[in-house]
Amino acid sequence: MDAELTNLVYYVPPHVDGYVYPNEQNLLWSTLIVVYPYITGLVAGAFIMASLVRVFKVKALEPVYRLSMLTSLAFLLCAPLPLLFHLGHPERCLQIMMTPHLSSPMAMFGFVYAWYMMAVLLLELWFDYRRDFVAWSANVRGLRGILYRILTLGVHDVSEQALRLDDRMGKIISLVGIPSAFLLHGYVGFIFGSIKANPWWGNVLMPIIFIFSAIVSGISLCVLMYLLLNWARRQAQDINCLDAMGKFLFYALVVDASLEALDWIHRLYAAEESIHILKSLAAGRLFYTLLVGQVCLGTAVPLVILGGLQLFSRHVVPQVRQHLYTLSAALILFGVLAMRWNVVIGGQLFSKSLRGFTTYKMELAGHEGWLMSIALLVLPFIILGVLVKLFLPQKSPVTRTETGAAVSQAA
Amino acid sequence: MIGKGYTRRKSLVALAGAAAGFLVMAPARKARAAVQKLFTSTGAPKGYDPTQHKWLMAINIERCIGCGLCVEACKKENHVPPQPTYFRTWIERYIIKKPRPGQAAVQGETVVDSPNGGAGGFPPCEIPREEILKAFYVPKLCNLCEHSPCTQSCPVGATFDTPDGAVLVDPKYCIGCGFCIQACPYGCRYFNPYTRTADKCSLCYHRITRGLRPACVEVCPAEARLFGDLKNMGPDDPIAKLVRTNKLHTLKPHLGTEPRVLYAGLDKEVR
Amino acid sequence: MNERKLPPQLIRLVILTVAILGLYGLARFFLTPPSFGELGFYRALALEEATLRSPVFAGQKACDECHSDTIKKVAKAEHKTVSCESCHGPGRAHVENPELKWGRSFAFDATVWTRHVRHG
Repeated sequence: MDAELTNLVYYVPPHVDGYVYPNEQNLLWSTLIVVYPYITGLVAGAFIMASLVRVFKVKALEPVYRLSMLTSLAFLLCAPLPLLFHLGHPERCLQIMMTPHLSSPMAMFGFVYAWYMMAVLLLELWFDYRRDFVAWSANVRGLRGILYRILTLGVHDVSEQALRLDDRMGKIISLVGIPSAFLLHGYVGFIFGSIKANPWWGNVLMPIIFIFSAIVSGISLCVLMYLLLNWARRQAQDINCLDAMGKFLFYALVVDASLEALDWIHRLYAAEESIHILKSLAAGRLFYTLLVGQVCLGTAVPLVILGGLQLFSRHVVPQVRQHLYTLSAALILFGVLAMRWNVVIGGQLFSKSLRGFTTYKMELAGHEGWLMSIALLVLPFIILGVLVKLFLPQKSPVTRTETGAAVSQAA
Repeated sequence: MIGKGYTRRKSLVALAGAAAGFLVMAPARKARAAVQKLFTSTGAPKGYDPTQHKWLMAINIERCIGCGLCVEACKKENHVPPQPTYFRTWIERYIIKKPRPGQAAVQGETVVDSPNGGAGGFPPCEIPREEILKAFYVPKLCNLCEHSPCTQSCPVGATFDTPDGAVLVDPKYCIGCGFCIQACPYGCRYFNPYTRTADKCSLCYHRITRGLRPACVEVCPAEARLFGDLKNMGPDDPIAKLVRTNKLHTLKPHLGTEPRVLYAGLDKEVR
Repeated sequence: MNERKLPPQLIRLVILTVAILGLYGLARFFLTPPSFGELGFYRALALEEATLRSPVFAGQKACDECHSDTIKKVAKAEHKTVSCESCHGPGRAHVENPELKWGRSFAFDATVWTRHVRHG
């Protein structure tokens, strides 16, 4: 799919070592397919973190609850874009919802996405924000006021009973949302895990590894967004909140690292036919992205830092702890992107004949190139900026009271 | 509008009604139309009934001489893009070297190549003749799997198994996601840059429905490719003879795709 | 069943849900292609459309219609398994218009000789 137009004018074959099937010389799934699981992973991970507040009642994470939900939404809105740009016929994209082939995991996309967007994320946000929408629609003028009025859906009841119902609905939706988030990202892992033709992809652990690396990346993103937001607003960082996030991040990372290690240990132990080419792949074509990027920088270093912080947090000054959290979160985010790269691109770099490698000719411009991927990764942050401006007004940390109703401390 | 009478029961009924309505409005044309309704347009072969045939291709490795005529004929017949990365069928050359002196093995390294898919024949190999233990050519194509992973993985139903044994792509419906191309274990699918859909060996469907043989079978000078109809196979059929006189193999049987393309004389080095 | 009034939030949401599901059902009804699902999970017309391309190679039988004596002569010698079009190239154009010049100068070129060398 890459460089198809230039290929038609003058074909330059990629560098091939060994033997690859002739049709496999050029990679089909490009950086866009690396970006898509990354984005949905962030969506699922940010939501899981937010649901820790609702479902598991982790009080320390309350300051970051709304930010996590908005982050999840911002990334969810951008999630279909890489897929759309990657399709050979994007104008036929609706077919996936009109005639979904039930034996194909990819056919789930439209429904899982629609369900998660409408029945989980937007619904939970609505129930959480409803009281504020009613308040803001009364006070704010202009376009924003109209927006808030629309968002109330015409319901202005903010009695105690209504607010209790809101809270209960939010809890139920959060509970339903956790498996939905798993499904949203897990089905992508299953798409890869179901391809028995490719030994790098087709194994049972793939969906689980995807889910846990998603959780890890989502929490890291929330850490960074929280730090960024407070820094931009010159507000004090809530170190308890950061410590709590760091704790969950550490434990999630331990599980994620164990799963990925298990995958490798099993492969090396069972040593099936494909082990030789996969070892060459990991040590050769994927050396920098896998061994350096994903394993060392993305997993081992954050594990050490976060583990150390769990053990020695009393001895570390909050300032330094903050910087260490920033560093770990950034490294993890980079490491998870490297993981997606290693799975998607790595799986196509070696031949299904198990006899050779090809190379990935990545375009710079063009609808599947570098610049497009960077643009798609930057866009959600722009959307998040707009959402924060609209829905996270300055000086209004939201806390939940004993009864569970949201109490805004804004004027 | 809101207020009076919107009880819990009424809302549940309304929701159930909507769900039922939506399910009914799903493709309602479930009636299996008779196949005779097809093949009625002016260009289509009249009188062809897909349910009366089950096509099969068999390859005799002993006979393939690696001339590459099949690859070129396929490209001409099916207007396959000419670049050397789009092939509906291709030939692989396997050169198995002798073991190194002192190496306790029956055979040495295996070198596989497929320059331009084998179209135009193979250039002389660089390995000196004295080092070669044996060499052979393996034509590859769509394996016509009984449980094809490609049709299983298509999210929209654009690639399908025909009633008569071919596996086709519907170029008007394919969205170009590439999932089927990744799912094929034999590497027989490619992404056509002109139509921007998946593409593959169609068993020359436009020829076999008119009583012709696929182009690759037509031009093979060595009778390495055999084409037959499982539903109309007499004892004199070349495939029947091949099956009687050879041990048969299929490619990658451990994947459970149950490929129907039979190979006679396949070596263990072929994947 | 409980006859208590539904809270207003939920009423609005139920209306929205019904509307969205209804829209989806309508879209599905109108946007599914006509012959879909008749023979299997695909557009049944695609089967016919796959047959509409015209063959490029004519096939040995077509050559036999006019040149049966040549074919009988070839069938006695080493080239008996070689079809006419293997060396002479696709013959459809000639079958449709027999006046078209066909033969050594048309499609029989040096590459044919290289086949004999290269298959060693």
